[in-house]
Formats: sequence, structure tokens, C-alpha cells
Amino acid sequence: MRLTTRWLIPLLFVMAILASPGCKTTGGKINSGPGTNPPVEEPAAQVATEPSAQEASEETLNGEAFGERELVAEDLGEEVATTADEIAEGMRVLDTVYFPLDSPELSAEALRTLEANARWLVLHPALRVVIEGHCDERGTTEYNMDLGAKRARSVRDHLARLGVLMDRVEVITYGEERPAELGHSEQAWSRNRRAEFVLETP
Amino acid sequence: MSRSQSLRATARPSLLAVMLAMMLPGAVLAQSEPDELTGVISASAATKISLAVPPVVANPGTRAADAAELTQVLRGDLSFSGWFALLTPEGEARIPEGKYADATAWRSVGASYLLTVGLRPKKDGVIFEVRVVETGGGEALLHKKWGGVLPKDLRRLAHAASDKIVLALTGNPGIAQTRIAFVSRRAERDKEVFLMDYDGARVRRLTNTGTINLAPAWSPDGRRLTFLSYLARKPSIYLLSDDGDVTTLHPAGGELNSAPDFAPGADQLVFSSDRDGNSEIYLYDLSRNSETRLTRHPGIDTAPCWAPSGREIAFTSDRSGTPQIYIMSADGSSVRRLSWEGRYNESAAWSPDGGRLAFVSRIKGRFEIVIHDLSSGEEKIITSGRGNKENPRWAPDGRHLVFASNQSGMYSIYTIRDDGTQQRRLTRGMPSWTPDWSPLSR
Repeated sequence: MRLTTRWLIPLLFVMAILASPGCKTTGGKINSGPGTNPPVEEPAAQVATEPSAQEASEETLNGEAFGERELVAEDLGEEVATTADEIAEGMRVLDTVYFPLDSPELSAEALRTLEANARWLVLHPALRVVIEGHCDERGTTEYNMDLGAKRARSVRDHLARLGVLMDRVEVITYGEERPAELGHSEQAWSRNRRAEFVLETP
Repeated sequence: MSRSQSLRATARPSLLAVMLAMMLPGAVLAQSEPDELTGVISASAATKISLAVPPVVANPGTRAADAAELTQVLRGDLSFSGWFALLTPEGEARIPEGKYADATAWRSVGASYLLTVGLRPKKDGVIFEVRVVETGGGEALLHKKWGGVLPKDLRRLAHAASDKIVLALTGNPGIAQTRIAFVSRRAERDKEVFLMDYDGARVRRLTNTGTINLAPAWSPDGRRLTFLSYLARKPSIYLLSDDGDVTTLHPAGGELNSAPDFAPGADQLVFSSDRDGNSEIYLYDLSRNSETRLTRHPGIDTAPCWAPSGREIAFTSDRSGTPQIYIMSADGSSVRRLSWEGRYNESAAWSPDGGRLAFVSRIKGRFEIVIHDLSSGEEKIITSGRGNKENPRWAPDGRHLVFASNQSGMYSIYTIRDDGTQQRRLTRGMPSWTPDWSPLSR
């Protein structure tokens, strides 16, 4: 797991400012829709316990004002611990996406995987995500560098359509340099044509 | 346009080769290591210069091992050059040791030229001397002497002597002093830049980054290498000088840069980057620190390679739906498609005389090396057999290529003649990729 700590503190602060209202806005929208309510409310509810009970009850009448007020009360120390837990959870939850030969196209199965991944990422707005594009060994070294990039970008663009903010997503290509499975079988190749998700603290 | 399969390199000398060898008294089958694919003497053997290379004799005060190494290096270089049919007393020419330096004895067995080597002791180091004479008589065509030579430098001096012999007898520069840069893996997840002599000797590591480095490419003066590295997390382009200095082109990073190639004359590089949303080719001017975008297409554009004239650039693009070789003017205009056969053509390399392009082509599920003749449009497949052959790059003599192949199971570096003969494996026991052949040393 690659955790970059260099940018941890300053970026956490920035993300706290940026992400909290964003999350609430998203939460508001999703709340009006069917189905997904309970998990979405969670982050907002956690933060909201920090101001006094009286304030909280007042503020729930107006989401906008509530969001601005809570920034003052952000506790960076606790957020760090939460983030580490979130990363651990995310690395378990976010599934790898697989690709057809010589192609960056997203299959129906890949689209389903991305939908689930996007849902989780929207709920964890404080984390940065690196999308790693990989290829099997059958292309040439140089072309595979670009095919890996194309795969990572195709995943990123679809996540954007699903509501994940682009400024927390980064793409990188490893071409054929980091196979998930060694070996030269059809099965190994199909496991290596992939996009992986790596979570990072900001 | 059609492709022809050239003479297949075989593990054993073909019947034709053996017959030719018997017919031509001057022709001796090249010595081959067990898994080395040499020994095919093609019809062109008839036009080879018949050169006698008797063993170097160790005079009193010099070491037999040094003499043996000199013999081996000189014969290896001269045979590899492709210009000569070597005569040796261990081969068909039964010349006794006492007559090694006797030109008329060698003339009687068909040698046109005789190389003699002197190795004598001196206070500091040894004296190393080479002389080439016509066996019909006359003055020496080449006579060169080095003094105070340390034994550890003998190998390099032998290469220097080989190049002088090639130049004296053919008028063409030799490549025995050239080197090959490549990448090899030490740990499971890294690749470092390495260097070796053109014959696979003296392998040494140039980078120590613990991360992935790829595709080293030589500057035209042989003083610098540019390569791709994940040193700053994302792939960026670096320059390594011969004094060990490392610089990066893009200190800010953030883009996915790859496949750098030096311009033949000017202080410029081309490379691919996806900073503008997808892989495009950019020109970087090292003296002005300025950048120009050359391609504009939503497809992948990558692996740029400069023509020796500096006027055109070959590259790979999948704008037709599959990766194919294209050529454009050096300013990005006049793009035209070059490869039409097959669904995967990549990794172009321009021959030093500008007349041909080598690239890899997927044929029956495997990558083979194809040479495209620019004037006739003809394509010749020069490799065959097991495994993939990738990343062809030309030797500065325009007669040899280096490439990476996994035909032995492990990716290794190989060289081959441009007609598909004399394939030779250079690296062993170390997986290796993305070779590039240095320019001539000056």
C-alpha cells in the first residue's frame, strides 16, 4: 500500500475545506433519491456531532449554513485515523477492472465494477485515488505504456461520469512492467490487462 | 506490397552452408556457442575478404591467457563484422605454428590477407602490435603499435585494432568499440539501465534507483543517454551524461512521458506524453528548453524515431484502429502511413543510411522483426522461430541490429545481421530488455 505522507497535513486541510460541503451537497441530492440513503448520511452525521447539540438542531433546518459552520470545528487529528481506516477498507472494497486484448474498452462487467467503486469513492471524499493502467506482456514495451495510460484514463473518465471529482483522481501507467500474475498463459494475460485502484491520503 | 521471409537462421549450419564452406577454401564456419544461431554462410560469403588470423603467440614474459583473449576478441570482432571469411589453423588451414607469420604459406591455402599480432613484455605493461599484409607481398596495409598496455586494457585495445583493420581493408568504419545500453532487472519490481560492449562483454550497471527505468537511447555523440524512469513516481524523461550526471526534462512531472529519442544533429529530443489528454508526440529543444507539440490526434501516437537526415520522424499510431508505423515531417506535417501488412506494427528504427526502417510486426501471434525498404516498399521478415523479438535498433554500420527476445524463455539481448543471419545472444542469466546500440566511438 502506497501511503504518501509528505502531503498529508496540508492536503488534508485543503480536502477538509473542499470535501465537506461537496459531500453534503452530494448527500443532499442522493437523499432525495431512493435506496442509498443510510450510508450517505453517515459522514455528515459524524461531523455534525462536533458543534453543540443546540446548534446542530438549528442548523439541520438549513444545510448550507450548517456546512460552513462545521469547517471551524474540523479536527485534523481524528480525521487522519479515520483516513487510515478508510484506506484499509477501500483497498478491500475497490475491485480491479479487466480489459479485452489490445483495448481500453470497458466491458459490461467492468462498468458494473466501476459503478460500485464510484459509489464507495463518493462516500469517502477525503481520499485520493490513483488509477493504475496495466497491460499483458504481449504488446511492445512502448506501445503498452500508452495503452496502460489509455486504460487508466478510460476508467477515470467513467468515474467522473459517475460523480467522482476529478481533482482527487490521478492516472498512471505501468505498461507491462507490473504484472499481477507471472506466467504466459491466457489466464495470466487476462488477469494482467487491468486497472487497479490505489488509495492515498491527500 | 508483400513480405518475404529471409533466409532462416538455423541452430546448425545448413547443408547449403556446409557445401559452400567446402567449395570455398577461404570460408570457415563461424565458431558458435551451443545456443548461438550462427554458422550460416550465405551466398555473400563468396564476396567476403579472405583473411588469415593465426593465434596470437605469447612471447616470454607475457601471459598465455592474454594472448588467448586477444585471439578470441580479434577473431570475434572480425568475424562479426561480416566482411571477412576467417582462415585459422584450427579450421581448414593446416599451417604449423612456425609459419604463422609466413604470408606465402597462408596464400597457398587461399588467404588474401594476413593479420599478425605481436605481444611483447615491457617494463610497464606490454607492447601490443598489429600488422596486416597482403599475402601476395608488398608493404603492410596497416601497422599499429601500442606500448605500456595494462593487461586489463587489452580487450578494449583489441577492439580498437579490429576497427582499424576493418577500415584499412574495407574502407568502412568498424563497430567493435561500440556499446549497447539496455535495462535489466535485479529485484522483482525494478529495472535499471545497464551498459555492455557490443559483444556482450563488460556488463556494467549505470543507474541505481530501485524503480523502473526503460528504453535508454543514445545521443548522437555517444556522450549521453536519455531514458524513461519512474524515479519521481510518474514516468518522466531523464538524461544521463557519461560523467554520471542525471537530469530530468520535466522536473514538475505529472505527465506520462515515454519513448524519448535524440535528434541526429541538433540538441533535441522527441518523446510521447499524454499531458494533453492522450498520447501525442512532442519535440523538446534542450538548448532553448522549449517544447513543440507535433501530433494532434485522439489516437495513441508514440515511439517516435528520427530519420538520420533530421527531416522526418517515424512513429507508431493507432489512428487506423490498430498500431501502425507512420512517417511525418520533423515539424509534424505531411503524416503518411508506412505499414499496411498485419494488425500490429510498432517500435520503428531508422537505418543509419536512412534507406530502411526496422520495426516489429505481430505475425501469427508472435512479434518478428521486419525491415522495410523505403525506396522499393518491400518488407522482409528477418526473424523466425520461438518467442517474441522486440525493440529492434540498428548498429551504426547499418549491417547489424540489436533486439530483445524471450526465445530462450528469459528476455535477453540478441544481435543479428540485417539479412537475418548470424543471430547471437549477448546477455545470459539476467533478464534484459529495450537495447539501443551506441553510435561509433570517436
